[in-house]
Amino acid sequence: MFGTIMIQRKTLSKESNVRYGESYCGLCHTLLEDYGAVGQRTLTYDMTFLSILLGGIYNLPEEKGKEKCTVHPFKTHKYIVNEAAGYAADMNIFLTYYQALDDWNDDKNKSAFKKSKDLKPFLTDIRTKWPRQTKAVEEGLKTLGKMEADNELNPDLPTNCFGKILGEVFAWRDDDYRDILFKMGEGLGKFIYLLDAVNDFKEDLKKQRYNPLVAQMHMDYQMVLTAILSEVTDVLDKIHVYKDKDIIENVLYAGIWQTYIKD
Amino acid sequence: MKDPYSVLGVSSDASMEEVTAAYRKLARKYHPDINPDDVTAEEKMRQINAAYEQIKTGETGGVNYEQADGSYGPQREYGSSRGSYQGDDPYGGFNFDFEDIFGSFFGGGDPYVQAEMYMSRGQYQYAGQILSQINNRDARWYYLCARANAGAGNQVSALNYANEAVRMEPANRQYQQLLEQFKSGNYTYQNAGRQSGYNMENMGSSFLSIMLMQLFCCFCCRLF
Repeated sequence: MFGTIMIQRKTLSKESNVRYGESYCGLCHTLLEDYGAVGQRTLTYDMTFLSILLGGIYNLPEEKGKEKCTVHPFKTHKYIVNEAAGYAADMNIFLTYYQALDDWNDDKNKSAFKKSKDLKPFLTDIRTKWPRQTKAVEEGLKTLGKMEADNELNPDLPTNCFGKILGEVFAWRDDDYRDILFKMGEGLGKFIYLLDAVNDFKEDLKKQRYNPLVAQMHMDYQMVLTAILSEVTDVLDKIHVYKDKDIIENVLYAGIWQTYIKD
Repeated sequence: MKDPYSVLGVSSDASMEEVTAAYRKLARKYHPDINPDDVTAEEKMRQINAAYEQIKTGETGGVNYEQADGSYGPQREYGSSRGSYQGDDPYGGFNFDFEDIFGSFFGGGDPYVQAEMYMSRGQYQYAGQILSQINNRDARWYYLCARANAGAGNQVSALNYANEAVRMEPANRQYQQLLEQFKSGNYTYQNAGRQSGYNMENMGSSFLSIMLMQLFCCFCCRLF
């Protein structure tokens, strides 16, 4: 689920690399503050991107700070926190819980089980704060699980299902930006899901695990992935982004492709 | 057509789990992507897909499952009896009386014409439902399915069907143009990327470099 929505550092300016890093530390800081060390360990690039995207679209004021932390114990480092960081942290916890549960169910991974146990107590409050998003995540993942159990071989069904989940997660508030953010999140969700299916295809075939692409033949997946991503960039082109547009573009035109396994 | 259960090597009273397990075992054996040297792999995979599709949708006749493109049966995209989850149509909660569509809307005429009319109104779900009922799957059928799927946001299926329409009638300009249209989204994206200063060649990384990158990330994510 995580680890695809990331920057490509070598094609991002030095200043923006620093700014990205400070936002990443800002999300880490928020996770620690709200959820302790357990929460801090769930930190992802993907939700960092969300906090930056929301900051750029809403022009959110920023709080800047300096601190030492468990990972940088000797040197103070700067961090940036905007109003969306709390939301990104909440979504980070909620989604990580379900990913851990999934890992436990799939591989009987004991550390995944422990992670899910540690995160479970936080879910109720997150559901109360964000009922629309959490409902979409839970119902969507349930549907996805059913598709997997049914060996659903129409790849668009699970792809679009996951797209809708991330669409709701990206749509932070019920306001004028809701549809735009939903569309961006949906496109990214579809991209992530399909990318995982493409990357895992041969392994899944060999291990006789579920993969929605088994019945497809001679598909140019790069074209489909690009088509999905172009819907996200089309939306981005139509809105005003107050800041960090270069970071956002770096992710969408370069960073997001880095985990695509080219044969 | 050969009995689908015997194609998959299961008994006719096998459970769906057993059928799926048999399907996966055969896919592992015959899928052309992992058997590039086997020239018969593709045809075998088509037969396996067709058999699995037939068992899954519980139909025994009337539709030719030997889809030329070998992909999974198209009628499942449009919320037919098995295509729905939790009572929701994958296209967003539609429940409508099928009689209404054929009967009152467009006078029950040529289904291709009806499908085109629904698409012109942006009603891709209705168009899809009509198309899924058509048994004769010619190039035009694939072309219309490609458009219906594209309109409904089913990019994988859309591209699959567009490819198939062109494959069946390579000289057809209309079908070629549709494929070009799908590619044009790619061109727009790539041009925009170039304008923002990104080299849009060579998307993706080798398996090795991804492993190295992920290893590096474990340590360097703390570099920020």
